[in-house]
Amino acid sequence: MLELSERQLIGNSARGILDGAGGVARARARRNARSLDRAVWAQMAGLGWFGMLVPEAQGGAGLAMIDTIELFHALGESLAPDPVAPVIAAACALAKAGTDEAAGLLADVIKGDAVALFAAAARPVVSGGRLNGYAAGLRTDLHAADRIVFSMRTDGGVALLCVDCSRPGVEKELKNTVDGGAVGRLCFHDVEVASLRVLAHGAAADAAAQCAADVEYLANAAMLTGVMDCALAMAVAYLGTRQQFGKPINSFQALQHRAASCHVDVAASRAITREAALAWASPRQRGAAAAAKAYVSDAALRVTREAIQFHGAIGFTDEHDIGLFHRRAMALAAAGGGPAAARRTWTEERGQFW
Amino acid sequence: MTAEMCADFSTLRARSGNGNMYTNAFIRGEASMLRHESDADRNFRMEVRDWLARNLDPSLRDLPGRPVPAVMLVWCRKLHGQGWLIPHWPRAYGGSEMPPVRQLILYEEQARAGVPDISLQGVNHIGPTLMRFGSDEQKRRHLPPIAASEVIWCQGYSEPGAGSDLTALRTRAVIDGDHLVINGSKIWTTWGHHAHWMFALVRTGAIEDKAKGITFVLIDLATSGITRRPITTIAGEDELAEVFFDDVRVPMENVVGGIGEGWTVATALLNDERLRGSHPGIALKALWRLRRLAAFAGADQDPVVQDRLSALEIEVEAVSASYLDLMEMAQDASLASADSSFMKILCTEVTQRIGGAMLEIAGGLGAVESLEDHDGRRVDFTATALASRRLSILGGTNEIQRTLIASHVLRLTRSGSRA
Repeated sequence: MLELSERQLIGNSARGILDGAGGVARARARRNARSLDRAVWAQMAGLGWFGMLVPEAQGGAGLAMIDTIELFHALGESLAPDPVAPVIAAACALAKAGTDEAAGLLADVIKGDAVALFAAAARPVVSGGRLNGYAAGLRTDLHAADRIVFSMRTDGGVALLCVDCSRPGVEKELKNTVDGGAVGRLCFHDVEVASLRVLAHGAAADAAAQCAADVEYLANAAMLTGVMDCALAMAVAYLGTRQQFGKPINSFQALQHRAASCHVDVAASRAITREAALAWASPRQRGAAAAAKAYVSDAALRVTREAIQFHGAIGFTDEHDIGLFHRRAMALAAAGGGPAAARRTWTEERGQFW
Repeated sequence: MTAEMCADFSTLRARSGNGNMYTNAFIRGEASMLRHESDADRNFRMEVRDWLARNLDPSLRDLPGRPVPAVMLVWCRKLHGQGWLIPHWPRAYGGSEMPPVRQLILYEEQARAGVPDISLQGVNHIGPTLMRFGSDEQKRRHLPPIAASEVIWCQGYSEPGAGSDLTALRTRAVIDGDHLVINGSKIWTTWGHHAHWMFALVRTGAIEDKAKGITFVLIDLATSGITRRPITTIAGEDELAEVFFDDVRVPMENVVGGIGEGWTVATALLNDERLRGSHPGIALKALWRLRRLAAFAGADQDPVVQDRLSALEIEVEAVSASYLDLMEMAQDASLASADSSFMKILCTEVTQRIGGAMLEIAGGLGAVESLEDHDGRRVDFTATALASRRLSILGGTNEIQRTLIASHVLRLTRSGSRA
C-alpha cells in the first residue's frame, strides 16, 4: 500500500495527462465517435495504467486497490471517454486467471496493443459445435473493444473464452449511450466453439470473471465520485459568479443548504469507496464493492441533477458542460446493471460473509 | 386495539413464530464494516459479542429510551471494566486508546445486542474538553469520576431565546470576589434533571459582545438556587429539562479557559460532540430494530422490503465508512471542523430514514407503540421513529450544519456564520 502522498501523486499525474489531452472538451468532441482515441491510449499504456493492479511478477505495477482510487477519481472528473476502467479490470482478471493463455493476452493489454473487455455470460445457442445468438452479455464501451472475454458452460465445464471482435461471424450490435459512448452485445453467426481461444477453465475461469466484475464495481464508484466532485465544484463556482437581485446567488440560503447536501453526498461517497477499496482481496471484496457502487450511483445522480439546477437555464443547454456530468453519471450508474443490481449483489454477499 | 388489528397481530405472531426468526435472511447477516477485518479484530468482535451475551441483562435490551440513572451508571461501570466506555480516551486518563476500527466494532456489537443508550455528556464532551482546556486541578478533580461513571454531566448551552443563535445567550454571571454569581435559565438540557454537574455557557460580558462576552463554567447542580423541571418529549420520555439559576454562586476555579474565553472552548466541544455524538452506533441500532421489525412482520421475503432494507444497510455502511475515514484523519490531525458537520448530517438523516422505513414496513401496525416477539425481545414500531426526530435538532440543528458547510467548506458566503 502506498503512502497517502504517493496516491495523490498518481491522481495528479493522471489529471495532468487527462487535462493535457483536452479534459472535458475531449469528452464533448468525441461524443458518439465510436472509436478509440489512439494517441491518448498509447500515452496511458506508456504510463503503465492498464497493468496497475497486475502483480509485478506478471508484468504489472502491483499496486493495491486503494492506490488506484485517485486515478479513477481523475478519470471521472475529466469525463474521460476511454475504456480505462474496464481494461484495468480485464488486466486484473487475466492476471487472476493465471494461465499461460491469459498471460499472452495480458501482455498485449498492458502494452495497449489489445483492448480486451470482459462481458458477463449470456445464453448462447450452441448446436453442432456452433455458436449462434448472444454468448456475451451487455457490455459498456463495446465499440472500443477489439477482444471480448466471457465465460461459457462447455462440455468440459466452465471455460473463459476470448473472441476477436473482427473475426467473421461476429458482429457488434451497438447502441449509443447518453454520455457519448456506446453499449452493446456481440452477435455470433455460426461461429465454431472450437475456434475460440480458451484462456482458462473451471475455478480459474470463474475467479477471473468475478474479479473483472468487482474491479468494475469499485472503479465505477470511484469514477462517479470524481464526476460528482467536479460537478459540485463547477456549480459552486457558478453560484459565486451569477448575480441576481443585485447579489451573487451563493448568498441565498436555499441554494447554500442544497449545495451543502451535495457536499455530504460527495464526502460519504468518497468514504464508502475508500472502505470498499480497503476490503479488496478479502472475502468482503465483492459485497463491499457492490455496496459502494450502489451508494455512489444514487449519490452521483442526485448531485449532478442538483448541479444542473444550480446553473438554471444555461445548465439545461447542450452548450454548457454541466449536463455532460449528469449524462456520465447516468451511464456509469447503469454500467454493470444499475444500482438495484448492485444492491442485489450486496444482499447475496452480506449473508455469506458478514 | 381493534378486533381487526388483533387478528392482524396474531397472524403476524403465527407467521414469525415458525422457526427462529433471528436466523432468517435478515438477521443472519451480521452487521459489520465493509473493510477487511484482521483475525485479531475478528477475535475482539467475538469477545465483545460473547461478553454482551453474558452481561447484558434482558431488562436492559432494546429499550426505547435510557434506563434510570442508577441503572445506567451500573451498566457504564461494567463497560468501563472492559475498557469499552472510553475507548477513545488517552491511557493517561484511564482510556484504552483504541484504534477507530475497534471502536466501530464496539458500536456494531453493542447495536446488535441492543444495549441501552447512555449519557455521553461526560465521556464524549466535557471529558475531552477538560483534557484540552482544563486546569490541572480541574482534570484531577473531574476526569476520574467521569471515567468511573460516578457522575452524570449535562450541557447548559441553549436558552429560551438562544438556540441556533447561541451567541445571543443571556444567562448572566457576575464576578463577586472569588465567585461567579449566576442568574438566568437553560433549556433543552438533556438529562438536566438527573445530572450532578453541568458545563455551561454564561454571559460575563455585554450582550452586544456576542461570542466575546461568553465564559465556560462547571456548575455543581447541588448548589443552592438551582431549580430543575423535566420536559417530556414527543417520544414520551422525560429526556430534557429546564434549569433555572437564582443567585447561584460558583467558585472562579470552575471557569474553563478563562473569563470571556468560553466561545473557543464551546465550539471545540461542539465539534467533538457532533463527531462523537453522530457515531455509527446510532444508525446501527436503528437498523437492527428495522431488521427485527421486518422479520417479525414476516416481510423479509418481500422483494420490495428486501431492496429497501439493502439500500438502508448500505447507507449505514456509508456512515460507518465516513466515521472511520474521519477518525483516521483525526489521528493524522488533518481534520477540518466542518467535517463534523458532514458527519452529523449523514448519521442523523440516515437514522431518520430508517425510522420512516419502520413505519412503512410495519404496515397496519405502524402506529402500535411496541410488541414483544417470541424471544421476549422488544419489537419497536414507533419509538425509534419518534425519538429520531431529535437527532436533526440537538447539537446544532442540521440547518446550522448546512450553513457551516456552505461557509467553511464550499465558501459560498464570506459572512453570516457564527463559528
